Amino acid sequence: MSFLERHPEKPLLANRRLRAVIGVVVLALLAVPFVTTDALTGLILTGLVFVMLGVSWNLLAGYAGQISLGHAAFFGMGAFVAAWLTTPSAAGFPASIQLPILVAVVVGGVAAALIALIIGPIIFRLSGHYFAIGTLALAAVIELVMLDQRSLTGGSTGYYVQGDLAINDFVGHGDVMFLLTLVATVLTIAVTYRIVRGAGGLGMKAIHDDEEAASSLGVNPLKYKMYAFVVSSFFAGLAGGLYGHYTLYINPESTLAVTWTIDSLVIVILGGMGTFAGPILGSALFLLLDTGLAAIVGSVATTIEGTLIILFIIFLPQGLYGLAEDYLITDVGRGGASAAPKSSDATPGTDPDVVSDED
Amino acid sequence: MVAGELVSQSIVNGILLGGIYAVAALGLSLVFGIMDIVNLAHGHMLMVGAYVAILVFAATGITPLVGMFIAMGLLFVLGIVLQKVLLKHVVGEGIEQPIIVLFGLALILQNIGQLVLGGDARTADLGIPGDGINLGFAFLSLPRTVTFVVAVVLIGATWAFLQYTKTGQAIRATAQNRTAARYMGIDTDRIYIITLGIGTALAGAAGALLSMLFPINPFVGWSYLLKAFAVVVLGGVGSILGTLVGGVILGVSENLGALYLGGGYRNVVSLLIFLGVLLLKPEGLFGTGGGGE
Amino acid sequence: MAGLAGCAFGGGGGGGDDTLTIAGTIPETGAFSSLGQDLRRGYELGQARMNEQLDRDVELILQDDESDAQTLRQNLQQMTSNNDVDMIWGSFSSLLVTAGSAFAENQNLPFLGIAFAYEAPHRNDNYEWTYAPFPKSRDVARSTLGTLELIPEGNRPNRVGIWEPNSGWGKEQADYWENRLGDAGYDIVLRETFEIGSQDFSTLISQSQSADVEVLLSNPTPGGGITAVNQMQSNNWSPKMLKFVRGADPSAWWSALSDAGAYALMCPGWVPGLTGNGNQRLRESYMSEYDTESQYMPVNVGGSYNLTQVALQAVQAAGSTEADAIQSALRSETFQTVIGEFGFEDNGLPAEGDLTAPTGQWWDGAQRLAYPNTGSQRALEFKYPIPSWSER
Repeated sequence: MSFLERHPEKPLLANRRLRAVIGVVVLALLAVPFVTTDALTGLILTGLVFVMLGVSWNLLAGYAGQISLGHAAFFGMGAFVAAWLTTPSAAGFPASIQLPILVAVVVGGVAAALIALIIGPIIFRLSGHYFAIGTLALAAVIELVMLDQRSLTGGSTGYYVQGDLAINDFVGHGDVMFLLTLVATVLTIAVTYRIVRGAGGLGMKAIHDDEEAASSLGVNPLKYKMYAFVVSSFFAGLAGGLYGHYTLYINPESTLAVTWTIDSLVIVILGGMGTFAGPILGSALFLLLDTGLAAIVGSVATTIEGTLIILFIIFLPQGLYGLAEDYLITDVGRGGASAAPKSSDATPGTDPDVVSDED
Repeated sequence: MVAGELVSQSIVNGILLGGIYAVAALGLSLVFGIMDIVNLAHGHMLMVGAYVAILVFAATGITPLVGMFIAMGLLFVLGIVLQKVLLKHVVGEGIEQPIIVLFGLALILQNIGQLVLGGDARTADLGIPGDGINLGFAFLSLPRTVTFVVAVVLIGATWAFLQYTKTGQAIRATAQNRTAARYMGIDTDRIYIITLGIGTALAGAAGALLSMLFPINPFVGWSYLLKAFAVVVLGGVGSILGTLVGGVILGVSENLGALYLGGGYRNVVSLLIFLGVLLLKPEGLFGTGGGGE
Repeated sequence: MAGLAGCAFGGGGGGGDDTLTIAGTIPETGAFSSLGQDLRRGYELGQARMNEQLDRDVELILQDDESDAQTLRQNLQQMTSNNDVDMIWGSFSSLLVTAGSAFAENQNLPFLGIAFAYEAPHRNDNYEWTYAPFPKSRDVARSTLGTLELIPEGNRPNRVGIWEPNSGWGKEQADYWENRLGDAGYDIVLRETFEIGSQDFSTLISQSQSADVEVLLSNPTPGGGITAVNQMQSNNWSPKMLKFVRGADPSAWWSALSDAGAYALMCPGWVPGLTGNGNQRLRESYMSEYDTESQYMPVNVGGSYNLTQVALQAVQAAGSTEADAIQSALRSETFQTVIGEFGFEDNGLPAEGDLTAPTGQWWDGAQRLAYPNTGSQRALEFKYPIPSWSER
């Protein structure tokens, strides 16, 4: 079962060179709204949302081993709850509940986390395939109900979000939302990093590797699954709220669409499931694929995405992170699996005979 | 008040539709029971089967009942290739890899559907002249009745195959105990290949049947996957009779749900029934257990 | 990509006070793809006319929005970032037009959109920049009543059924129909909602049959409308009069249904048979520009051309491409277009009562004007009732 090697124990931030790189990247991102066009700012903001989605889904799926296909529901509910709070009149709520955007998107994240807290104990009665399909069905139910509740969501015509954080002619609403999203992304990464490096991460890893064994050693599987689920849903909801207040228009059909789940999954697989930096690398690649491919090969972009995730999961289960580690980090003397660059082809698990029959 | 005739009509429509749902679910159930894999691309394979029937119908005017066999043949081959090329790497590898491989395949099939036919919904029709039958308490529309009969025949044929052929018996033996089957000299790799072929061919058949009733677009895969899996859960993994009953329950509950709760909740009702059974009675209403983790 | 066409007449380059730069999206792929070409043609014919009439270059940038609100938004963002856009033209359907309008309102850019009957956003979302030269829900209901009154009184049906899609516009249109027809003495015997993406209409059909519905009104999507008629046929039921607003708009209606689609009514904004206000010229330029066998133009070419006439007249009156000047022209002028003569309320609705929503009917592969009566040879005499399936 251990085809996914995780490295929570690796002191990622202890590496000086890496720290410098992170600093430069964050600084460069801070400058984005001031030096690029609105369209490019929007594109990179989407990339940040991808990072939040990928990192949060990875915590649940990559670390705790719970393949949820319902991530979009939390993203979308975060977006809607935040929108209800900044624009209550459009949903028939009293104007008195109106909150500033910054508070509203946090409440959106909290609401998504609360939903996870309530349904978690029920949905975690399922495991494996049943859990995957159950979460897919749950997300579909939420989408259909929200679509039907026209007074709350605008139905298929959508919901207009009010918000204007523009500071002056030069720094517009979109630019401020970009900076907020950047802060939220850094926060998502930092909190998730602390969790996977701490006791929580160890517990998640234990139940992922062997739930029964972990349970007999006194690790409560439900506790760690819930931990991962609630935190993951919070950040997905936060991402949804931010994105909704950037676009200022949400719609049950697109905001709660299964596409967001697909994107999260593709990002994590490309980057390396169960690796910390994976989803971040994956988001960058996915953004390039999604926009770059669409421009070059247009109509077959999805086919290429599908093919890539199949090839990655079979032949490169550690994704880009695995590649990067083989080529780069081994240089610094912190070799992961093996120093041979192509070694990732031979990670345990690609050979069916190695794995014990579970019957 | 809802008139009695309306209720009986809804139930009859639900039963007739349930037959097709059962065919779709049977393929999923076989693969799940024997290979321990939920084919996440099952709904998309159904969509491909539907498109094959629609294209044959559009090009030649031949009824999709004939196109159905072409669709089944093509998808049988697709299933075999899929197992030989991709899934053999990941079967028995826990759940992450098969789920993701099949998820990727679903994306590819959806994209191919879009490329071949565009985003518009397409539909075929029965292609056989004739009127429906009026039973007094309900009207049996011709396409629904014909597709139901074909669906039941397909399910019966699958049952007979599993019951009376050597390969079928080997498949059942593998389902019961993989290791023991291996000791008895059954080539389980070959069984996997055949099972996936049959499973995907049944998805193709269900798609071809659906194409005579509903428009098909490249994005219907997810929704039919959920419906098929709901039937598997209702009927229990590995139970053929259970699958048929599960299909009928799903079809009837969708129609009655639309009647009593309003059409906005047609699909919500069936998903909620599905989630309810999944949580309360995961072995299914008629299930013998098996499959899954 | 599919966009970036239509620069042929403009000087290109964008920006500059002389050039009028218009960004627009059309659904060339996705659920509304059958409408994309008609919108493109109407917009491009209009652009050519604007180039003749205005003493400035008119540049039109069109991109494919894939019938998706999210993509549409990204397209607009990209087009306005890379060009000095003065005005935005919308796409098809309330879903896509409201998404485009949300963007334009934020950017303070004049926005024109057709195929958008939904009124509530105009009132609730404080529109300042969105203008819809298009018959709205209230006009559609009035036109439905007018069409019914074409039927001799003794023969006139009374039992009305409404299928309400679960969208905001679905509810609004159903409310208008219920009130307007109810006030006029019609009996609303059925009003049922359905899921907007629904493919199974069998329950609604049974309910309508059981309630003995004579006049069936709905505003489904094109795909939904086609499916519904297919299933009516296989269930051997049909109303005496059928009006599917938006659902029966595209030419896909006839290619999918052929004769089974006959008799259906729709309110697409413009229908062959309308006269005056440039209709003659539109017809001539369409027929000479595009190779077409039919003598009836697709309805959305007329609708989108009407939008370009509003744009032309507004820019003429404003005498500038400044957003504020165009806005005040849109608010104060009266416009003469192929769909009629009308002004706008400040929230962008066509002024109440100005527009008669023309009702078209499918007949022999073409949509032709059934109401109001213009006497044009491209109009037809409203065909009522729809015979039963066995007699068709």
